[in-house]
This record gives sequence, C-alpha cells and structure tokens, in this order.
Amino acid sequence: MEAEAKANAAGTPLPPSKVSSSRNHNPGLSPLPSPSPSPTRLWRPAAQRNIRNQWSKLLSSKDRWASAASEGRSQATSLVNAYLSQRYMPAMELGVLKDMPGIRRKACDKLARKQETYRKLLLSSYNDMVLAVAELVKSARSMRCFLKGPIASPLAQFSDIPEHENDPGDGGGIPVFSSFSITYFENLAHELVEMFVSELSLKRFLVVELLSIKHEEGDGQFDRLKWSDELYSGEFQDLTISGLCSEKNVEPLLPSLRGQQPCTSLTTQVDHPLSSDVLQVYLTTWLADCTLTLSLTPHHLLACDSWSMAFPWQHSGYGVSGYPMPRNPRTFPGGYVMGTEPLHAVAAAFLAIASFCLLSGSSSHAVLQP
Amino acid sequence: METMVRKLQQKYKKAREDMGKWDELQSRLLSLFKSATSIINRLQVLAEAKNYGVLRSISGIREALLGKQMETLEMIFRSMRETMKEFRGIVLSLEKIARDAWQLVKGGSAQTSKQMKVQIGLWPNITYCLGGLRSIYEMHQSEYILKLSVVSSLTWKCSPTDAAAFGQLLVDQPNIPKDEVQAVYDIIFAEEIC
Repeated sequence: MEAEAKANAAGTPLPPSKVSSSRNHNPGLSPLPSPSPSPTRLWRPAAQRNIRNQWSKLLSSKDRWASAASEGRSQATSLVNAYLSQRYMPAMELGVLKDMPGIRRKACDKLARKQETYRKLLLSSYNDMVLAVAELVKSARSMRCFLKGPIASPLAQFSDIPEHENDPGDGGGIPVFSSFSITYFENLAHELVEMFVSELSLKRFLVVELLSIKHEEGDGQFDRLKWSDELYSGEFQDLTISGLCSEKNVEPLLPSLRGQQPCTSLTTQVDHPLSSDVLQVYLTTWLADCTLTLSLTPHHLLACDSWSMAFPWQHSGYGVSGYPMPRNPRTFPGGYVMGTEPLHAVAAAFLAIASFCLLSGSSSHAVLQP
Repeated sequence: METMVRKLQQKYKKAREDMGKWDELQSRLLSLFKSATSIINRLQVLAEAKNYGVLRSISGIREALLGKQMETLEMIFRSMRETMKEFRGIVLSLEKIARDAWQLVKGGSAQTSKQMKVQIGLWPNITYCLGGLRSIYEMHQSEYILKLSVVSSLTWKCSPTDAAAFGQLLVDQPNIPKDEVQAVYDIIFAEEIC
C-alpha cells in the first residue's frame, strides 16, 4: 500500500497511451509483462473483484465526506451566529433584562465559550473531511490488480501490491468489465477524487478564516491563523496523501477552481471585523461545494439551503433553522442558468459506473473472454 | 336513505385522505419555498465582490458561487413544479369524488328532490352531503390556482419583500378555511361524534 502510494504520489495514473503502446509494440518480445494465458484468465475475476471493492469504498468515503461537510457547515453557522451575537451584544435591546447587573458581560462570556466549542467541533469535522479524502485517494490508486508469487507458478494469486517489476497490474490493458480497461476506471476515479481534493482545499481555506474570527475588545489585532499553520497535529501528513502537501513545499497548495488561474498569494488586507455579509458569503461558499459537480450531491444541496444569521435587529434569529429535507431528493440533470460549467460527464457517470461494477456479475467476463 | 348516507360518508373519508396528502405536499412546498427565498435574498450579497473577503484571492470564485446558487435555485424551482403537479393530482381526485357522489345519488333508486332534502335525526340530508363534497373540491381547486400563480411568479429577480409576501400567501391558504371544512365534517359525521 505504502509503496504504491509513493509510486503514484505524482498523482496521475499511467496514461492510456503508454499502456496500449507497450501492449501493441512488443507482444511477444518482452518476456514478462504479458502474462501467460492462464494467469490472464484468472486475473480478470480477481481484478473485477478488486475494482468492485474499490468503487464501493469510494462510495462510502464519499458519504463520509458528505456527512462531515454538512456537520462542518452547521458548526460553522453556529460559530458565526455566536460570534455575531457577541458582537452585537452592546447594541442589543434587552428589555426588562437590562437592569440585571452584568448581564451583557455574562452573555458575552457565554457566547465566547460557545464559540470555543464550535471551533473545536468545526476542526474535528474538517479533520474527518481530510481523512475521507485520504480514503478516496487511496481507493482511487488501488484499482490495479497484481500477480502475486512467482510468474510461472501454477497457483495464481493476486494482490494489490506490485511484486514484479514488469507487472503493470492492469492485465496488459485488456478489458475488465465489458470493454473498459483498468486504465479507464483509474482515470474515472482520478477525475472524481480530484474534485474532492480541490474542494477540500477550498474548505480548508474557509476553516482557516472561520477559526480566526474572534471578538476582541477594542478591535485589537490578535494572532490570526495563517494558511501555512497546521490546523491540527498531523494535518500536513494527512494532506500529503491527497497531494495537497508535498515534501518539497510544506505549505498546502492554495485552492483554485477548475479552469481558473491557480491562486498564488493570499490577500491579507481585509477589513476587520468582518461584516456579516462577508461571513454569509463564507458560509454560502461552504455550502455550495463550488468544485463538486451537481450530480454528486443533490441531496446535500437541497437539504441545507437555508440558515438564519443573527442580526442586530433580529434577536430571535439565532442558530440554524433546521428545515425539513424535501421528501424526494432527486438528481436533476441539466437546467443551468448563468454560464455555469456544464456537468462533467465523468462525474455524472460516477454512480452509474459504481453500480455497474457492483452489479455486473460473472456473466460479463464469460462473454468477453479474449 | 341510510345506505346512501353511509356510502357518501365513505366518499368523505376518501376526501379526508386526499386532504391529508395535501397537507404533506403543503409542508414540502413551504420548505422548498423557504430554501428558494433564502437563496434569492442571498444573491444580492453574493453579487458584490467586496463581500468576498479573503476569498477574493481565488479567481473566479464569485462566478462559481453565483452559478452554483443559481443552479440550486433552478433545482428547487423544478421540484416546486413537481410538487404543483402532485397538488393538481389531488384536486382532480377531489373532483372525481364529488362527481362520483353525485352520480351515485342520481343513479341510485331515483330520489325525488323532496327525499334528498329530508333530514332524519342526526343524519345529514343528501343534498348537504353532495354540496359539502362539491365545496371541498372547489376550495382546493381555487387554492391550487392561487398556488400555481404564486409559484410561477417567484423568480430569482424577485425582491426579498415580494418573496416574503408570496411566502405568506402560500402559508395562509386563503381559499381553504380549515374551520369550514371541519364544520362540514362535523355535520356529516354527527352521529359518530355524539
């Protein structure tokens, strides 16, 4: 596992051209890479099993991500609400309560403690998201199925760790399920995982910002978190798995959107304290999953489109209002307004492919035996 | 006479089931509407680059975010339209119940108009039974038309105040006075209550 992760640390799986060329050019010349007919026959069921397992792992990691992200959203909202209430406390109309001694100070203390709690919870949700993405990346890189033991052994065994130098683990590029080769599935998974990695980067950006909002008496400058700070111990190690951190640059890659210039430096001069509008934009950004395509998260998107923020004139508006989920979350294809990116076909196919792999039984390989 | 009233009471029970479904749809529609208005209210804030704070350093974030929100809004509109279709289904079913009841009375042992107005003890007279079903259908029919026009007037260009007023119309359901419906049921099932 480790060795493989390292080998693939560059991120991209073997390009298809490489595989096919090695197959086409020296079929008989190379002694090792094209396995003897018997292992090939045995290889396919093993490879199918592996792919099926990896895709179901991908699915469950995706679910883990979704639940962590939505928990993170509600904690971020609570944090922002507590922060705003604290900020607005001096101006708040307290009615009969205003005669109680020290009521405002006590309320502020309490809100500050609440923020501390939400900060911790937000961080732990973020931690969970990092781990989910690491799992996604690991499964996406374990699509190949390698021959285990000596090549000519009568007993063919397979594993996910390469043992032979010339064994690419893709069965020489032959189709695994219907006409799709391992490389196809790898590319598909890679594309999917890529989206989650960039979304994680964006979320980290927001976490850094949200963890730094603190109400300080007299607007004093306090120590803000920086992008290069490790948010929890071992974070950078976890991020290395998903390729956001690397040995060369310890600082995680800055977030960027697909098809856009990568972001090179951070604007640091922002007015403090942040206005509630800015905070609202942050929360919306968290909610919107800008880098994930629609089809992956329709449920998640529909479920949480509303929150109320605490505003000075809206005392009762604390907290997230938990609107009930719509009863029939559906996938809605098409229907784009305002020049959004068209739905990426690969991402749309994700669930279809996953279920395809899970459903195709032994029949497919019987038909497609070369 | 008695069997006829019993049969009509069955129709009322069916209508009550439909109204239960209506209430479920109503709460679904309201939650969708709430989501839609909160996005609509947010759009103005999202459109201003100055509201993006440090996010400004990520190029294209404003467009992406606005695009995403519009996408979500479009999805919500779509499910609202789906919900409206289901409302229509209920209206049609209520209409059928009223019509069936009418045919039941006509087709049955030819009742004279005098017989239809006869009231025995707590039993409601047959004319009342038919009228009640008819008015329940009409209430829902006109409420459906109102909802349809509210839902179709909600667009992303609506101002927050407009959206709030639309929402209030949806919540109120002015064409379906709950107490009136209840009063009809109280008369139809009077003997069960006593």
